[in-house]
Amino acid sequence: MGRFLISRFLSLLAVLAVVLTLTFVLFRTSPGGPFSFERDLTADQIHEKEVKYRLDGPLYRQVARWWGDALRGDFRESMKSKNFTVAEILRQSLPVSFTLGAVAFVLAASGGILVGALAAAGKNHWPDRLAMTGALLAISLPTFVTGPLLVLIFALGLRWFPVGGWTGIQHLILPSICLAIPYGAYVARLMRNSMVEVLGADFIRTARAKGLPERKVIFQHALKVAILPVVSYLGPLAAGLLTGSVVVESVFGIPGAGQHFVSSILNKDGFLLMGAVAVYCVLLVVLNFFVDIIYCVLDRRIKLYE
Amino acid sequence: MSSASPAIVNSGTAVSDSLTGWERLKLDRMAMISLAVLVISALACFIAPPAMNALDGAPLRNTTSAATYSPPGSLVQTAQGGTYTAWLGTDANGRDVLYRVLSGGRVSLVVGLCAAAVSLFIGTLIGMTAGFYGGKTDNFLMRLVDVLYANPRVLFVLILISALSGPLSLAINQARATADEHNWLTLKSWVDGAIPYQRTFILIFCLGFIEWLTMARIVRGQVLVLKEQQFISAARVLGQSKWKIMTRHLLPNLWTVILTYLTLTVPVVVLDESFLSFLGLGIEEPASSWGTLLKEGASAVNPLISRWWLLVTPAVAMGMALLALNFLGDALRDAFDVH
Repeated sequence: MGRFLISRFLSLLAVLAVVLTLTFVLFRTSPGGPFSFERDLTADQIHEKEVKYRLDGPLYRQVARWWGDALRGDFRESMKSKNFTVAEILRQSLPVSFTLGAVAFVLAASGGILVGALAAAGKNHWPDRLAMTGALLAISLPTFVTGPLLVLIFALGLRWFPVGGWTGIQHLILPSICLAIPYGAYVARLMRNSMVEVLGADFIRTARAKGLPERKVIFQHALKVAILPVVSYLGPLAAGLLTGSVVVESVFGIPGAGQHFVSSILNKDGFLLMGAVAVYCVLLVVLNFFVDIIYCVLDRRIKLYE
Repeated sequence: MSSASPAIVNSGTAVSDSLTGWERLKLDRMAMISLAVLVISALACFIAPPAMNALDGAPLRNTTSAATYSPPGSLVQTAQGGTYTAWLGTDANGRDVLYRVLSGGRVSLVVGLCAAAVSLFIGTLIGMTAGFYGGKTDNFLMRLVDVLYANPRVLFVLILISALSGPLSLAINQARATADEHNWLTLKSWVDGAIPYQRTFILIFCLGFIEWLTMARIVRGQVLVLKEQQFISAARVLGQSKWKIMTRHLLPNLWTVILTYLTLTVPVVVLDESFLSFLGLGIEEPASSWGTLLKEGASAVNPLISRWWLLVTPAVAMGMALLALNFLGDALRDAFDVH
């Protein structure tokens, strides 16, 4: 097992390195460079700026120097928000996104698993049909529609929650639900399909035959096996949720990190972009690694390490 | 979504196994309803807007300023002096919401279908090559897919769009200048006609370019299975070229997979397009898509006066269409047993 995990970790690190390098190359080679907003720069002035931002010289050296800085923990200065380093910008916004994302993660995972399991238990009957139609609808609507709809109903209509802002726990509920809805729906679909498959297996028939109550059969025996596809989805799910969503942040007025992904590209703020992508990828790699460990522990039939 | 009526499921696998995929699909009530919904909405989106224009004097174009934000069902005056009933209300410029949702649906569906087709082409090509050639090619292509999966997709499409829009408009300007210079009227009118569709082209290409990953994986898996079957070995022994084996023998056996994932990719692309519209990178005014309408609608929800119909109308239209596509895709997957 140790060997499997080490090789898995190394390949994840390789993916991380490739993704970050690729992003850097894309940002440096895409037409309309970081200085194209400032008009009428002479070649000398551009060169001066490139030296200032350590972007001069051949591409491979630029990449190498960025990696050198990044490995020492220096993500450089933002190219557009003057006087802010990338690390400062991320330090301000990431905790907000982490809080929101963690709540949304718990909601999406637990809600999705529960709904999916119950739907599978009532396969082809109305609870299943209702839950799966609902899940499909939740996947079919973008968050910037569900967000305002939630606001319309629960904030403006029923006045249960504030419309937006970020000062207390009451501001956490609507946005995290909004963020969780499509992911929860996806988890529910995964869970339902794998549970349906598991419920047809022999060991479930045995469990039923020895007279276990259906609730125990589903939540103790079947769930342990059926949850595996969901577990492998939890890594990317958490990485996506924790880094924030530009839509939810702008609908609810939350100062999170998701906006930086988009604004850094639109403003051609390359270093902020690299910082944001680095955070996302490191999270993805670490979480996927955790998922692998959990997988090994949960499913002893899989002997990946042999 | 499980297919077939309960009777078939209960009577065991013998009956449903003897049916072809199409027969199984026809027995799936939800799939047939979805198909009907899709056909009707597509027809409505393509036929109704011009028909409405012809019937009651161009509701899209200038209505009087008094007509802005009329609630659903109100009688609206057009600038030409006529009146019509705006069943779903009007927007900030007094334009009929029903008309805009229908014509927006046309753009969304076209972008969705074309981009899905682009992604299908790339995905099938990569997936088939990887699966059929195997070995190092397979390894390289699949690692590429892994890496692209690890990249945040939003980011990729934003970089692509911002990289492509500059050069494309430059190219169009140049073509126009050349046409002007030589007085090539046909080319000029052709280029002028293409200008409003620049964004649409870019969107179709970029969205197609980021959504092929799943397709490639599925096709590769299917090719790996097919490759081991006897008719492929037979073709090989007969000395047919790899290209011929791929196009004549593999592709015909892949088309149910392709159809299924085409159906499932369209809603994904439509959602992507709406997300880009939300960021202001989607379809540009005066053209509209469901995404741009939803964006307008979302900003019309505020604590003072909620113009709910601006949000609810496109949301219902898009939700219905995407729901139907997803239902149909799931049913296809079940009917043809694609995994």
